[in-house]
Amino acid sequence: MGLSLEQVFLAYGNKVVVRGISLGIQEHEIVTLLGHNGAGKTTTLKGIMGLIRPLRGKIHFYGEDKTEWPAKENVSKGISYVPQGMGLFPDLTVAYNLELASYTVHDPGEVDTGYEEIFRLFPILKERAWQIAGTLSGGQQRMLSVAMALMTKPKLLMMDEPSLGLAPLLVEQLMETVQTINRRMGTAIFLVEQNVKQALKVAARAYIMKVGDIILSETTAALRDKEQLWELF
Amino acid sequence: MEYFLHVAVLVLIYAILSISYNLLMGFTALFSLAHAAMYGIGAYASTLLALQLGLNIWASLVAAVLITAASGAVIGIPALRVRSHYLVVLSFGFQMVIYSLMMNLVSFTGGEGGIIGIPKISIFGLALRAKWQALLCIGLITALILWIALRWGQSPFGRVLKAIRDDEEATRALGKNVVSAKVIVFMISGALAAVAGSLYAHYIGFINPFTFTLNESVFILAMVVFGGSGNFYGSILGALVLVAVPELLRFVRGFSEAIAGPFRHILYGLMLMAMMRFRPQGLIGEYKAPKPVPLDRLPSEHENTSTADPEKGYWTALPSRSTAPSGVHERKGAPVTETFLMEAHGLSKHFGGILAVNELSIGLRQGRITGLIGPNGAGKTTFFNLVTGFFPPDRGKVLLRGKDITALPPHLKTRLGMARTFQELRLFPHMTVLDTVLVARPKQKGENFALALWPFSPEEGQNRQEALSCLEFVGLASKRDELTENLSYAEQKLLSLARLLATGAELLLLDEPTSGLDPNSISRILHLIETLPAQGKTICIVEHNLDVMRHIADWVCFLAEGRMLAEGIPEDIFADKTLADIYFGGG
Amino acid sequence: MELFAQLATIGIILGSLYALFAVSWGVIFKVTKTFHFAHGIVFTIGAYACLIFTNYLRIPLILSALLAVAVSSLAGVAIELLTYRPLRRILSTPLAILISSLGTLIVVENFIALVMGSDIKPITGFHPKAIFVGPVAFTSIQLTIVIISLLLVVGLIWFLYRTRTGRILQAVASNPEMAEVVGIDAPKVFLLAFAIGSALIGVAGVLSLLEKGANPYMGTMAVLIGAIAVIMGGVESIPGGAVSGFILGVAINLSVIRIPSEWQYAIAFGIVIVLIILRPEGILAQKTR
Repeated sequence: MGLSLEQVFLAYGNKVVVRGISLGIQEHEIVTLLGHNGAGKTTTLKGIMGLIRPLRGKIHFYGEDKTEWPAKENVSKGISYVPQGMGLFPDLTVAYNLELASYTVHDPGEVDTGYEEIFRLFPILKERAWQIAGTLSGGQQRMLSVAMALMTKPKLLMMDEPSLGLAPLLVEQLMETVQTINRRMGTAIFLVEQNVKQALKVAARAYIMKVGDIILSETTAALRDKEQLWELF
Repeated sequence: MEYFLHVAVLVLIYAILSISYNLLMGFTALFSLAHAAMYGIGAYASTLLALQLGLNIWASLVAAVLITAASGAVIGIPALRVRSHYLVVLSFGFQMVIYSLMMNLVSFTGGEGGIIGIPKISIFGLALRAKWQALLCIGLITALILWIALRWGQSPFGRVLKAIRDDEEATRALGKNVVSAKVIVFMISGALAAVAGSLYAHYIGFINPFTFTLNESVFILAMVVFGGSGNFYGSILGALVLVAVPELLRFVRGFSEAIAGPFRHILYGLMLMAMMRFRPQGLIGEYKAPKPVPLDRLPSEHENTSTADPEKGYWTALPSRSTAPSGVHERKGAPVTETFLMEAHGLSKHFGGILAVNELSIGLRQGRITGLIGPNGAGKTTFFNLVTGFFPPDRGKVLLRGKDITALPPHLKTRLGMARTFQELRLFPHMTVLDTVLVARPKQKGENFALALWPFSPEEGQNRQEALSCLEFVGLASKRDELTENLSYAEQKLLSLARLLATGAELLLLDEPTSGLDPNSISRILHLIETLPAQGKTICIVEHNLDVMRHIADWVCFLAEGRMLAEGIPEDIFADKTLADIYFGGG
Repeated sequence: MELFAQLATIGIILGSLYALFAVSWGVIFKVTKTFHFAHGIVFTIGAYACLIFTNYLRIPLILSALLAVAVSSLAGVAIELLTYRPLRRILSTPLAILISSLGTLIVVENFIALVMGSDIKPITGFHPKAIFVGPVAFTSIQLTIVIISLLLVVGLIWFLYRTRTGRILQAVASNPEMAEVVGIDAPKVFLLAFAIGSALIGVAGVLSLLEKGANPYMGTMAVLIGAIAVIMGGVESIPGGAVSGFILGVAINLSVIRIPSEWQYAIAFGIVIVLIILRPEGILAQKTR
């Protein structure tokens, strides 16, 4: 059970960026997607999230064919996405950002427990609940983006280069948080990363993309032993 | 009969207005609502000069043209500072101010009553009292203006305007002075409107402000939209239809002015809406409507798309350097005595609170392919932006052939021999493939609006040859008349390279030339790039696909956090464990 | 001094109306990024709807006014559905959308001129009372304009910042992709923005009808002043637009002290042009981060 992609093609206008990839993520797994800039990693996440419609191929989630689902449907069925860069509403407060993130959650009880979880993971967000999100530091903004994605208690959390622009210490903390989320909430995590070392520390498996194709699928244990990572990029 | 001649004269005057507005809005996409104001300034200026100073009509026309051209600069220069939809508001304000001046400067303009008793058009003292005489004279002038406009349209000057319409930044990066082009087009568009205004005033014999209202600006807009932006014959058609048809409606019984007026405007409005929805390029149109864009051929279901072979390295398709065909330059080792074509010393740049580039010093050796690699945010694209002048550096300098070019504006840097491509391509979607490359050619005399009128131009022929050979080099010659937006992505990337080569620049900065391409296209474009040093080019290439670097770069600079950490031949860089740790994250 | 007080009063009345023009246009522009020229015709529709309901259908004024506001709101939504949405789908350029919007304005205003005539039409059976406060004189309708406009402006700002729906509008304005990612249906939110902005300008139309009467071409000035005020105040800021609109109204009137009244608009536009040139991001906008 989980997420599976079969021979999915994705394009922006006339630019075919993802050329027939297949992959799978089991529930409770942490899987990472690696590869050079422009390989198609972000496009893959957007395709799974319903922000781009696949040209061809199928995507299944817990048995359901979700290929045609728009983003709205994906969120309510348990997939969340932390986009690269500014994954929040900079002109609104932290509190309102979290409120908007729970847009699809109709049960107030669920929303409340959502807040509890978030504030336990990221106490600083509670302290700064009334600060305008755009004025937070880079690391805090990243925390808020992740927190927003967790408000819907997703079964699958997708993160696009969460370490981008963060100092090494914060990246360590972020990766620990990823593991905590996976452990505590049981969420499967699909992590796109440029920071290969850190990603290999937390993920069980890795896919490597190059020029729109998946060229390698390995357990991270096997990858860590590989001498020359350069070869794969 | 007299009546038809009169209508014909009006059609001609509006044709001039329509043609001049087409130059502004159709060619350059500068949406101004102030054209009626220009028309009015021309009319009043010519009238006042004729009546107050006793100038003959031709002198006052010329003077009116100059005055109105100056007014064009008054809108044009501020318009440079603001984004496009602000121009709408700015020009509206200008239109209202001029209208207000016409109404209120009563001692000059006669206010609401206007001015009467304007002398007829006369040639060598003979007044043209008969309508057919006026028609002939105005007809000749209109024909002349049409000829001028057509010359401009087909000239390098017109090409630059179209390029500005499609992508202003890319045009600047090709070495064109966009600022002066925009101001000039405001001025000449206003100048031609003044001709119409002057002719109108002296033909009719009286003027008042109600001819030069906002509604009139919209009317002229409608003519251009109808006939097709960018097409001057269309503008004449637009004038003919929109002036003549309502006049004919007068003969239909039951159509009083109270009904005919609004009815006409309803038709214009519907026409504007219908055109934008169904045929944005107008009736005749400058270009064909875009077809659905062809995607790169997708492999069939059963084809094995993967060419991955992790043991050997990703590509088995790309030949290794040792078996490269002759003519491709040999990679050299660490050079000691080679010259630097371009040097950057101590460049620094802040964006907000972030230091994107930090005391960065890089040298690009003549005749070599230098690659820049580094993790995200290392400063690679910022480096390109700084040396080409997209942004000014906070500190540091850039030397080209030893000369300090740091402070020069982008278009002058290109003219000195340094040009770049863009990661997002920034091509000209509504221009043909050939025109896209042609506009990149440097030192085109025809880009000067005055010189563009000279019909004999051997340099245009030469430039066409050069442009075609650039297209042949990348293999796009057969698509020369195709619209850029109809090309596949791979073809567009090749076109981007062809356009760069057409600038004739010696130093070529390539920003991710292979991103988004399939392996075959990557091969193809790399083969082309490899041959460039033998043609005297120096290349700097930013790439994230390290195989590309391995195959093509003589020299690699490793950037991280805005600094260069190491440089050397690719084998050395890729063997370095410390750099690998940094590239793949956090030691 | 008395002249100053009177001019200031008229300025406040005009300024309140201009503030309403600004926020009603601004909320649509901020959320949907559409330069909604045709906003002017929604203004006119509001006025004429109220006129028709009152003069011809003999509906009591208050009810007429409310119905007219509803009609305006629907008109704005219709324009979004029929004009802008199809153009966005075929990836029209902003210029094409602008021209279409202008076309819509022209068609409807001339249709109204055809059917109702181009003359200024007052509302029948409405007799505003004159009010005197010290040296200053104004009418009950002018007082109503100030109160209602300011209430609506404040109300809109309150709505945007203090209600969940308002924050959803802000989210779509602030980061449309992220809004999609959290499951918000942007096209529906666009409709809401048009509904709200159009309702507000519909109120302005009714108020203008009551104060000066209706004519088919009244909308062009309204939308242009609204757009100018929003641009002056910084397009990101609804309160900025309101304040700019208000200042514009007051300044135009006070300038009569020194400048003959026929020059007012020319001077006002001249000043606006200079301000836009000097500070294109808007007077009240913060420099972008």
